[in-house]
Amino acid sequence: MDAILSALKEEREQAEKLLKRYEKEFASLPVGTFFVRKLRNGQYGYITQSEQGKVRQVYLGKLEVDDIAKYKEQMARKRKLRELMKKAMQQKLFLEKALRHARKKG
Amino acid sequence: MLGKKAKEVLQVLNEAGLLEHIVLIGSWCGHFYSLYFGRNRYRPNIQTLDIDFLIPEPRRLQSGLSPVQDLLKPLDFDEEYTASGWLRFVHPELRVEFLVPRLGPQSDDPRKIPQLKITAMPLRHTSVLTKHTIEVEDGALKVRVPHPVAFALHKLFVSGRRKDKEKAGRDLEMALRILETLRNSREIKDIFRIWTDFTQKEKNAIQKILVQEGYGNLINM
Repeated sequence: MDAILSALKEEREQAEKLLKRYEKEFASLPVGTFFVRKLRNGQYGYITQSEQGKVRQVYLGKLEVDDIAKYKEQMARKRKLRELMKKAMQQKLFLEKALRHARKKG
Repeated sequence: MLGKKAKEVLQVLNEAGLLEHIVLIGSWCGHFYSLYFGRNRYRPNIQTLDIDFLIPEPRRLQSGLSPVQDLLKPLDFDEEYTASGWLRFVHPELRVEFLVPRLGPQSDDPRKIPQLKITAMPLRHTSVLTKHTIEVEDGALKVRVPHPVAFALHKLFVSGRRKDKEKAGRDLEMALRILETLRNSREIKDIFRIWTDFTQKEKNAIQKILVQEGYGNLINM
């Protein structure tokens, strides 16, 4: 039982560490949803943000193709991070439950 | 049982032609030993979320192999440099690590493997693990793991050197489970052949633990 407990504790620590890492990276990415308005003389970027029930659009200015690609990449990473954070949280909760169970049995 | 993520990792490494150059070590070997011995004879107890691969001869790796990052990125693994400077690939369900044998009085510095674009962790006392290997099939996968005798004796040696008592306990438990299975199997005859490849220092340490744990008669040394 000691071996199981120690493995569970170690894995829970790893899950917590990974979750923190994902959260830190998520916080470093732009808040909101990026979109582009195409006009005759160029492409203009905006980020839609929601704050206390109010929705607002932040104007980013005229964007080059590379800038648009960068924003889109960041948004894709945010979506992926949400998915990974969910998995890491599930893993952490599962490990906490398993630890409680193992402690009871031990 | 091999988890979904571990299976995906092994599949991509296999498709990239990398699996034949590496040896799976660590707790995940338990799954392959249960296939090798049969599940009614051996059941692994603990499987951590680290999957460790040992690259026996990094210099002999051919050029043109895919960088590991390119293989694991589509599976949502992120790169993470440890405090010691070696690279591992992390996902909530699995961590993938690469190790290389640390031979002779070289430094413990992480070793760059340019063919795979990784920095691997050097590990001492691995020569027996890479010299005595078996290949185990799991569906379409053929995975190279240390011979169970080599693995169990090596685990005993490692357990005696660990500073972390809990990890040492896990190593010891895994080693003894395998030895118990080996005791009643034909593979036990390989123990003499494999034993000769341990260094005297390793033999002394293993012998001491074997006696302590009541397996002193396993090999008449």
